[in-house]
Amino acid sequence: MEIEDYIAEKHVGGSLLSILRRLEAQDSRSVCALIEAINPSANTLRGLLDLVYEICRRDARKLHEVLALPVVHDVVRHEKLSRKEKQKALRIELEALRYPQMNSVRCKINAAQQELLRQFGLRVEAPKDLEGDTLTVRLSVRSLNEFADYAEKLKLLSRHPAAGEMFKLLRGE
Amino acid sequence: MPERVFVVGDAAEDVVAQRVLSRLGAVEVVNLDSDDDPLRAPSGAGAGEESSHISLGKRWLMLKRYRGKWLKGCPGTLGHVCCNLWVVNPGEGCPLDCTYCALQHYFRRNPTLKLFTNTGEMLKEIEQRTSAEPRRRFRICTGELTDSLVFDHLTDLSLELVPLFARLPNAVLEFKTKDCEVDNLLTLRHEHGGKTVVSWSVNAPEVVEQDEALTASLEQRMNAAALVAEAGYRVGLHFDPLVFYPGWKEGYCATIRYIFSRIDAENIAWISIAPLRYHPEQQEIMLRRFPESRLPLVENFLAKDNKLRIFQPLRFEMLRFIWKELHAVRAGMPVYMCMESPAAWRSIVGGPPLAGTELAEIFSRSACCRV
Repeated sequence: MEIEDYIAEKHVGGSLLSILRRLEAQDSRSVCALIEAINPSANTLRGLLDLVYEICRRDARKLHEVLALPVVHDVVRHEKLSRKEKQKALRIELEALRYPQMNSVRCKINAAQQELLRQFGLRVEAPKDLEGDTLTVRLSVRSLNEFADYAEKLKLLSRHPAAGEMFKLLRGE
Repeated sequence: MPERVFVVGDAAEDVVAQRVLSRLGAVEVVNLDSDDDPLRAPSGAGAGEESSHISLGKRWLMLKRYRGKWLKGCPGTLGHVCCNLWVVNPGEGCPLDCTYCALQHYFRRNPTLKLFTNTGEMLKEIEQRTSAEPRRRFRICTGELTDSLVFDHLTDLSLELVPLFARLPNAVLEFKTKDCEVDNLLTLRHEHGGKTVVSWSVNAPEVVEQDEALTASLEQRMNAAALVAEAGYRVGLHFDPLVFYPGWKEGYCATIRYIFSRIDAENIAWISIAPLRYHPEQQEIMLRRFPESRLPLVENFLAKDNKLRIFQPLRFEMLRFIWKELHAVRAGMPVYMCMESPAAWRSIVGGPPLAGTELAEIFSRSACCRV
């Protein structure tokens, strides 16, 4: 597929059109390969390229160099993922490249959350966007005994290192 | 120095306008009937057109009368702890060119620099308002919508403001600047009465070098700070914005060490610390106007107040680090966080700033105590 075919097929206009028409040869080939692999809508492609360009600018890299990174390449060439799944997975990988520290904190919080869920059957949620200092636990009970069970679990949970870790991560400690 | 000056209608009769024009010397002067900005962007103008107008606007100057209310509360930001600063704006826009400056977005459709020529009315309003509420402590800053001192050699406004505040029992004046223009202030060493605080915006050396075009160097700022401190003024510092970059800890430590090698910590009236935050539309302006800057590429997210902010764990790490470094210089250093969440105060300081509204009161009181 050529870039012009994609432009015509998706009726690409506005800023994406000028981005696609300004691509250097090697970048253009990489974007064509990406389009073939994931068949994105114009909006989806624009969102992905915005992330790619920000990474390029921050790291002083060319667009085709970012698209050739193993984490990106592995998603695009994955044999078992559908095109939609590849689009979603690619966005996650690009966001992890664009926001490495945020991604690292999120991964650690998720790990702590999973540990608490596994040990106590309680889902401890971090605040939206990691903004705030409040963890949330939601309980549903059918009896007073269940209340008592949860009270015991919460007591144990409060002493578990994973719970303390979640607070520390939120506070940037 | 501006390349072109626009004088609007009756502003030409004002002493301030005549003083500015005489000091500018040979400059193109255009008289206007309308006070519309000559660079006013048409509705629907794109970021490209706006960006080029912003750059041109920094070289044009409009002299006009201000028609609105002068003294206002700082708008603060939704859901964040506010220090209850009051602001007056003797002008709008700034000839300095910092990559992160909020004014380039705020005035993107009206980017010509402006100086108001009826500042006598501003002084009257300050006096009337503060005397009408004698029990309230006012900390009033002139540096919200422009640099407080960058035009002082043209306007001499400080020569009127400083003596006025010396007479006001319940108000403190704050100049906030990145310039080193303090000649007028030094002539008032016996008249300021300890009621004027001269504040400098400071940053890590790498940020000053790469993201604060046309400003005085950190050394020049601290030279000026040392001079005003020697003249009996108290000094404020604003670590704003705190910028994340590789090596930020070393950079900010170097700045703190340098500052306190030049100024006695006892002369500090207050220090604010505030991580980078800006309106999302400003991102496009920054990327266009400063293609070399890495600053728009930090790890930020769109917060509830519709500003891009550094994500909390990193933001808190930065705030905690600077907070500790400043308190290591002096245990009781009057540091506050500007536009931060209650969670930040709990996590970094251990509690809210003395039940909220007292923060401004404390700072005003501590400055007044020097009288």
